[in-house]
Amino acid sequence: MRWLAFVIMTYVAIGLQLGVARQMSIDGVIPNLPLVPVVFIAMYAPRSQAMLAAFVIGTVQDLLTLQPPGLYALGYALAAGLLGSPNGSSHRAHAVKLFGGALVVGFMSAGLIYLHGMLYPAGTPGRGPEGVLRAIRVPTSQLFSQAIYTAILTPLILSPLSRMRGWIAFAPSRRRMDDD
Amino acid sequence: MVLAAASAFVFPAYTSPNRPRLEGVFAPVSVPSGAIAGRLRNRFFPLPAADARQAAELQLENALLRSELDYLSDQVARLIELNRDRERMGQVRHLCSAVPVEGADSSGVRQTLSIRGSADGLRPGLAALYPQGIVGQVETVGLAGFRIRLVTDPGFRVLGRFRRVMQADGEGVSSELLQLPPAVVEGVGRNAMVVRTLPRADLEGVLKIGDAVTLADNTWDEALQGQRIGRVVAIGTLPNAPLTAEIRIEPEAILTQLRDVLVVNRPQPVIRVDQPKG
Repeated sequence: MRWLAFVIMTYVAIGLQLGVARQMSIDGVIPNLPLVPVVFIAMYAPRSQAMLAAFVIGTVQDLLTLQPPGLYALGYALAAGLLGSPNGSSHRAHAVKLFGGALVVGFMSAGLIYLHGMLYPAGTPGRGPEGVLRAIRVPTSQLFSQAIYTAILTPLILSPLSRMRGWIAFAPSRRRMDDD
Repeated sequence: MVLAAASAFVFPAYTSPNRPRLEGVFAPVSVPSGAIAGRLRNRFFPLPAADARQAAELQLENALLRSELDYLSDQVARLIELNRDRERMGQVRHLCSAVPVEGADSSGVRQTLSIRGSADGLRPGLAALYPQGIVGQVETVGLAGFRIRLVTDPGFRVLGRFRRVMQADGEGVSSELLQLPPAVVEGVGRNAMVVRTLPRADLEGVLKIGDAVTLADNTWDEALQGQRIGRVVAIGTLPNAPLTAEIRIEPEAILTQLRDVLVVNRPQPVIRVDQPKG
């Protein structure tokens, strides 16, 4: 894989998430745009490369959020490992497959955030002047709505981008070893 | 000849100022002949133009200047509007520094704003405002900027009181504090907050949709007490505690879409009152 192209793609995706995504909110639900390159790489790159790349994207996203660091890195890497194939794929993925892949990545990272929220809620239980304060967690509906919203956007973004998969130079590990 | 020499070399200070004005005498000849000569000269020996550019270049410059004028007019109108918004904040405005918002939280589920720029004089805990009220607090400060946690972020807690703005005919606008105790306002994401500590019965006939929630938290700066946090949009009950009310509150704007905020980072002026002697 051409790592420079990957860096550019990651940079653009994260930048768009910080600046543009908040303007795309529907009823308070904001898409998770860095998930799109994760799906892209997971669909075409060999599993080992996909997991590493997804981990890097998640790490960068973790650095720019109030969420505890490591959540997105772990979620994306696990999802990329689940989605990817050992040697990658050279066939252009269908839109339905892209949608499904985005759902898998989105639900896995949402599930991880939900699980973390159960153990470490954003607002801890306590006592206020008038009564008990319950634990406050990121709303489950928001997490999974975000995953669905992003999954809907993913085929729209990736279908034309799939033509550029050669630019990323996804190459199966076995072929690269033969070239050496 | 002697007189001429003397007038020129000996007494010029006396003779020069006292010369008679005879130009008008020759005007019937000098004026028309001069006009004709000028036209002939301009026709056959025209002066070079001060601006020798081609018409196309001048047209392009005019188009650019018109575009620049439109842009500057729009900027002036925006600044007038912005200043009018900030004037509504009253005295608190003078305690604040305006900072542009770079972006929101990268997760999309947490509610924060990232601010790029110098973080000199900033520290975690400083309040952030916008013309319609409180935005949140500075959460982290770094080398290249800082992050503000919004009041709507899950887990953000602040004490508030309920107020109602009333307008009586001929008496102007007044703000009445409702007979309810201070309550913990908690952020729950999606640009919303809730109050979940008041009994449902206490709200009957007291709280209405549209009532305001204002800051009443001693851990915040004294100058900010009374700043608006949001307004009541729904009153219900907790699913597993029917006797406890769940009051949903929303800010006046979608906080994640703000383009700039005001950080309270200037010290309040200290007014010293000297005690009378004796």
